[in-house]
Amino acid sequence: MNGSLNPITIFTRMAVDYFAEYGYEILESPEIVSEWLNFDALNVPADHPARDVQDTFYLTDGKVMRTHTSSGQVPGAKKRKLPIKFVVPGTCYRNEATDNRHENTLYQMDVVCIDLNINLGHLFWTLREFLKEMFGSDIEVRFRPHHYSFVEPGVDVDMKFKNRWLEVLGSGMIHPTVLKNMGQDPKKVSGFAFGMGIDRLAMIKWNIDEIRMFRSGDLRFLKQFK
Amino acid sequence: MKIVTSLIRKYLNNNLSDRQIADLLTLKSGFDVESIEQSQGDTVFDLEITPNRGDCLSHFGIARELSAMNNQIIKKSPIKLIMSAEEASKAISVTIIEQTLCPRYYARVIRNVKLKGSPVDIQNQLRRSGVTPINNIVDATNYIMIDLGQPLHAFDADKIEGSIIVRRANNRELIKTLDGKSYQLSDNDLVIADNLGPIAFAGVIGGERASISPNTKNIVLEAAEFDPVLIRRTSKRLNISTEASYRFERGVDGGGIEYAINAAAVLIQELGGGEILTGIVKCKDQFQATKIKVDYQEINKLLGLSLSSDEINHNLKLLGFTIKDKDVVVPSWRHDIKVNADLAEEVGRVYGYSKIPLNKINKVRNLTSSDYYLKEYIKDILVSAGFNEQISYPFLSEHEIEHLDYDREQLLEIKNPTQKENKYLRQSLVPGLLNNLSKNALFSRVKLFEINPVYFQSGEVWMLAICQNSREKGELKNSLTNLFKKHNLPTDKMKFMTFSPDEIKSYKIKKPIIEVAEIRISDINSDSKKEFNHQTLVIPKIKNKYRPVSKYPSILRDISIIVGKNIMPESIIEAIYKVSNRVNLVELFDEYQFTGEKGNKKSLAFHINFQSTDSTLEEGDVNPILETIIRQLKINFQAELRR
Repeated sequence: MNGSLNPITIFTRMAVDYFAEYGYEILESPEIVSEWLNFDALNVPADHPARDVQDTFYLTDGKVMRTHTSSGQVPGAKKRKLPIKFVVPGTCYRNEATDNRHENTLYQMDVVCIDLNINLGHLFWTLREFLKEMFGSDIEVRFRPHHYSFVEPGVDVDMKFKNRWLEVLGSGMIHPTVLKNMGQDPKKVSGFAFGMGIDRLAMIKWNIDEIRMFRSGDLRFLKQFK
Repeated sequence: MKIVTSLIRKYLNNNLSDRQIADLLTLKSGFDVESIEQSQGDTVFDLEITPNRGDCLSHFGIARELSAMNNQIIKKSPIKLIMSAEEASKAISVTIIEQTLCPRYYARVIRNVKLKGSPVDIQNQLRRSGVTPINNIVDATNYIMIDLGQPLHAFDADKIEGSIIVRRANNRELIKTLDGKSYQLSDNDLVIADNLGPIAFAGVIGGERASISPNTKNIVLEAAEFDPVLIRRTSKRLNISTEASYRFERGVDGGGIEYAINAAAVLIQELGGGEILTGIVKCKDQFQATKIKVDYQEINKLLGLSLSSDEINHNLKLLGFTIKDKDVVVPSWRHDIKVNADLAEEVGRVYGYSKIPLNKINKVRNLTSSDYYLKEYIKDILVSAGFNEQISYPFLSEHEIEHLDYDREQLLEIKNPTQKENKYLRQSLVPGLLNNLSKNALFSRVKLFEINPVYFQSGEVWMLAICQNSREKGELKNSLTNLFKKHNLPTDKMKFMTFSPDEIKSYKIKKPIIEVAEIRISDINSDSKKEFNHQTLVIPKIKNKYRPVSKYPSILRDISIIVGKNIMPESIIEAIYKVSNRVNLVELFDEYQFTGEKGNKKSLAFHINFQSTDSTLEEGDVNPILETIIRQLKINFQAELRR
C-alpha cells in the first residue's frame, strides 16, 4: 500500500524535469541569508517603496529568512561559466498573516538563463512552453509589462486556464546591475530570470482552494495525491 | 489608485472606449486594473500603479501614458492668469536650509478668498477618486493633485509669522497636525516653519496653527518637491500616509510644479474669488536632466527585435524623451530611468510585448548530479513503504523547546515574529511530525516523513525524519533498516526513539506506541556509488481529482469486500468516489488473495472518509451513503460484503 508525496514535491519535480531537459542544473541555496543577498544584490535599495511590498522575517543576528528564491541568483551565477542555466527550488518566507490564499511559508523556484545573446523572445518562448507542459497544450499565455527591481524589461505572465485569465509568474531580463553583481559584463552577456510560486501553481493545477493544506500534515489531504 | 474617465478624456484627443483604456493600461503600461465601477455616468478604474511610476499617480499622467501607447503626444493647454498689481515677493519670503532635501519650493499668494463648499461636480469627482471634499480651497488643492499629480498645500497667510523656512526639525519641537494629533519632532523630520516654529510636516500633513479655517481670507499656496527618502522615513515613523506623502515618496515632476501652482491658483480664484498676487516666489536648485548615451544595438539585442534608430527614437519621443546628439534626455517626471536597459523597456512597451517574436531554445542533456536528486530518491523509497510526505513550518515556540534537547547556544531567534509561537527556528523535524501525528487521530495507522532543513547558528542542515504509531516497539527501526539496506543506503547514523503517550503528554497523542527516526541527509551516503541525477527522477501521475478537505470533522468507516481476483482496486475506488461528494478519501489498506476452493476471489479492505463542507456529519448521514456504496459495488462488481 503506497504512501504519497506532497503535491508541492510533485509539482516541483515536474518543473525541474522540464528544465533539466534544456540543460538547467538544480541549485540549492540557503534559506537564511544576508539582507544584501536578498535585496541589495538584486537592485532593491534600502528605503525604497519596493522593499515594503515584501514583509520580511529578520533574525536577531541581522540576517533574514529569504523572501524569494531569487536570493540564490547572484551566488549561483557567480560560480558558473557561460552558458549559465540553473533553477533554484526552495522554501521562502513572508511575515504576513495567513488565510486561505496567503501563507508565511511558501515554496518557490527561480529560473536563470545567461548567455551571449539571450533576449525577450527566448524568455517568452521558455515561459509559454513551460506553462503548456505543466497545464496542457490548450492554454493561452499573455505577457504584460510590470516592475520588478531585479529585471529590466520586467514582465508579468498571465495564463488562460479553464477559461479564466490568471496571473501566474513574474519575469524579465536580468538588470545590468545584477549581472555586474554576478561577475558578468552586461555589455557582453544578457539573461532572463523568473520566479514561480509553486504553492500557487499547484493550487491552480489541482483546484486546491486552501493554501494551508500543503503544510497541514492532514492525511485526508496528503493521501489524495497517490 | 482610483481614476475617473471624465478627468482623463479631457486630455485625450481621440475616442478611446473604456475597454480600450483598460487594455492599454494593462497590456502596454503594466498597470493592473483591479476593478471597474460605474458611478453616475462616469467610469472609475482602480489601478495598481507600480512603485517606479510616480509619474502616473494622476489623471494627466495616465492620459500621457495612454496617448503615448496610442501613438500620440499629449499637450498641456496654456493657463491664463489674471494677477493683481501687488507682488507676492513683498508678501512672503521663503528660505530653504539644505537644498538637497527640498530641491524646489514655489509659493503664490491669493488675497480675499471666500470659503464655502465646492460645486457638486467637483465634489463628486473628488469622491469617485477616493478623496473627501472639505471646502473650496482644500478641494482645489486636492483636485489639482489628482489631476496633475502635484500635491499642494494651502496655508492661512495671516497665521504665518514672518517668513517661511524649509528645514529639519529639532527634537525639542512639537507640532499639532490638522487631524488634532500632537507629535514630538526629530531632526529626521523635514518641516515647513515660520518664525514661531513648525507649521507643517513637509510633504506629509499640515499643522493646525496656520491651517485653512472658515475665517481664512488670505492664502499662501505651496507647491514643492521634497526628498523622497526623508518623506518616507517620517511617514513610516509617525505611521501617517497621505495622498501627498505617497506621491512625494515616488517622485513628483519637478518640471511641472510651475504649471500646477498656476492651475491651482486659477481654480481657487474660480471657486472662491480673490486676487492672485503677481509672481511666484521660487526657491530652487539647478535642475540637472538625466542623460543616457543610447545604445540602439543593445536595445534591439535585449528585445529580440531589429528596429531602426528612427523607430526607437520615435517610441521614446512619444513618452516625452528627447534626443540630443547621441544622448537621450529623460523627462523631469521620470525618476526611474537610469540606464540603457530602462530605455529598452520603454521602447518594448510602446512597441507591444505581444508583437515580440518567440525564440526557440534547444534541448540539451545535463546530467550534473545534485543533492536534490538524492533527496527525491529517498522520498520515493519511503513512499513505496507506505509513508506520506509532509512539509511543515520552520518555527518553534518556547514551550516546544522544553520537550526535546535544544542547544540554546545554537538556537536562532526571530526579531519580529508574527506570533509568539513563531519565535525560534527548529533544530529538529521531529516536533513537527509529532504535532501532525496527533492531528490525524481519525486514522488508525499514521506514517509520516519529512525532508527539510533545520537551523543552527553554524548553518542549515538538511534532515530526514520519520514518524509512525507502531504495533510493537522497534517496528520502525526494523522496517527502516531493512528498507534502506535494500537500496544500499546506510542507517548507522540514524537516531531512533520510542515514546509512550505519557512521555510526550503535551502532544496529546492517543496511540499507545509512537516511534520516530531522524538522520542528516549528509550521513546517507550511497555505498553503491549510485549517481543521482536527472535520470533518477520519477514523475508520478495523480489518478484522482482532488476533493477539498472540509474544516468540519469527518467520519472514517472501513468496508471489506470479496471480489473476483481480476478486479483492480482502482476501479472500486473510482466507483466509490462516484457515489457521493461527501466521500472525501478512499484508501485501500488490505488485500488478501484466497487460495484453494475460493482461489478465484480476493478480499479488499478500504478506509472511506466521509465529510460535509458545510456541517459536521452524523452517523445517521453516513449510513445511507454506505448502503448505496455497497449496493453499487454489488451491481457493478458482484462484490460481496465481508463481515
